[in-house]
Amino acid sequence: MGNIFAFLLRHIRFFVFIILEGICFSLVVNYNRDQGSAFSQFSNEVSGSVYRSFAGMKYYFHLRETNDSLMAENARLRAKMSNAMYFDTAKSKDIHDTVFKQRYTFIPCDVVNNSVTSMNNYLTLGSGKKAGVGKHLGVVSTVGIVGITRDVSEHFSSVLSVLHKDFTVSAEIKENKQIGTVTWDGYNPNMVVMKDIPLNVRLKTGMHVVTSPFSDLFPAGTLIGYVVKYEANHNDANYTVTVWLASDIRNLRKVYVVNNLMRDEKQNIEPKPESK
Amino acid sequence: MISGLKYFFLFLIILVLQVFVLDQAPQIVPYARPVLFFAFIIALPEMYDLWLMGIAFAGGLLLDILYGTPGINAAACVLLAYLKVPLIRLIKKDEEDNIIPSGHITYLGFGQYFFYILLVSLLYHFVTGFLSVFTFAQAGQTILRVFVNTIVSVILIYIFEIIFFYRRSAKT
Repeated sequence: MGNIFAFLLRHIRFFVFIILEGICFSLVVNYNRDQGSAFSQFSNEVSGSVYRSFAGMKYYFHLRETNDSLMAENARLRAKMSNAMYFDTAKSKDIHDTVFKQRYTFIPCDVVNNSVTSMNNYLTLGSGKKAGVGKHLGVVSTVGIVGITRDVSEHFSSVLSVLHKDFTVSAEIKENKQIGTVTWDGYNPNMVVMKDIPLNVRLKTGMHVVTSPFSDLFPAGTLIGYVVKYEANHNDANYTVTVWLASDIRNLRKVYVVNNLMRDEKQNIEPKPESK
Repeated sequence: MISGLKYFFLFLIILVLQVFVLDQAPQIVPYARPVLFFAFIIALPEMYDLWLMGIAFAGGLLLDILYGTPGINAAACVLLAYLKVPLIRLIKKDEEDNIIPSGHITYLGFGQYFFYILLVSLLYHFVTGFLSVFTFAQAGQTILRVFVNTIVSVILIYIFEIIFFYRRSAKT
């Protein structure tokens, strides 16, 4: 303590000088309009840039929360898209209520496990019954389809990936509305195969392959992939179309489980196949 | 006490000269504003630095209040008071340490006194010039003003010093 006072006393000349100049400077910026505005602009600039870089740093620590909230918002917005709605044009008596009814809802999920290398590939999602995930529901990523839920536990659900021998989905080519079936041939985790396209259909590479309205699992028009190759198969007069998958199954982190609110209603009036 | 009153009257004379004569005079040299005011810091006798800085602060603030620019002249005056003795020592390297340096023509001589007030004027006008525009945007023009004002101030202070201090000191 004594040393501090001794130091202050030895340099008192300098400290008094600094204090007086500080008073002068504060007088200058506080009581002169031009200097005051210039000073406040400068200090705003400095503090603004400091806070901006600090906020940019802080942003990274909250990326996870930001991402989750965006996922939740996306799920809400997807549920509002027209293809998630059931378009009710029937002229019944009490139609004055509303035209659009909610048909699909989306549950955001984390992918906790994933495989692409075996013949039958599965994903595991970090959400289960508690989050509202049920059996046999479609799973989509932000860009395209991913698979179908198979088993659901309280907190997890396993998904039969697109890259599975048993996976089939009704698909159509967006440009000419031609309906076919998409399966996986088990070779390339980026490619699936679309069958049942007749030879009279004109195909081009780059055409969009989307889910068809026949599918109960996915909203009609959900992207599956793009046509990269097509070969005529003369045994059954159909094309074998190779489709580049839109979603990169290998690198999935976040997916949505599609909940079709009208599926039971639709399946109840359809004749049940014996095999299932 | 008597000498304190004497220097107080000297300060009043300088202030009146500055505000009522020099500031009202027509502009002869372009850019120039004749400033004699800080001569009172040079004229003050050797005293404790803290007192000198306090007096310089008060005097500068008084002029600032008259001009309506609080802080600008006070800042320059405090800087001058702080650097007064170091500047004299820089110009005149005295072999004997116990001689208290004085900022007068009798101690420094004509040539060194000229350099001394040149440095002091330059400092003063540099500080007031940049504080009053408060930007480095048109630094060239500001520096030109600083130099012109410095030359005018050096001439004024030299005349002032010879009138008030040289003859009297020479007699004694």
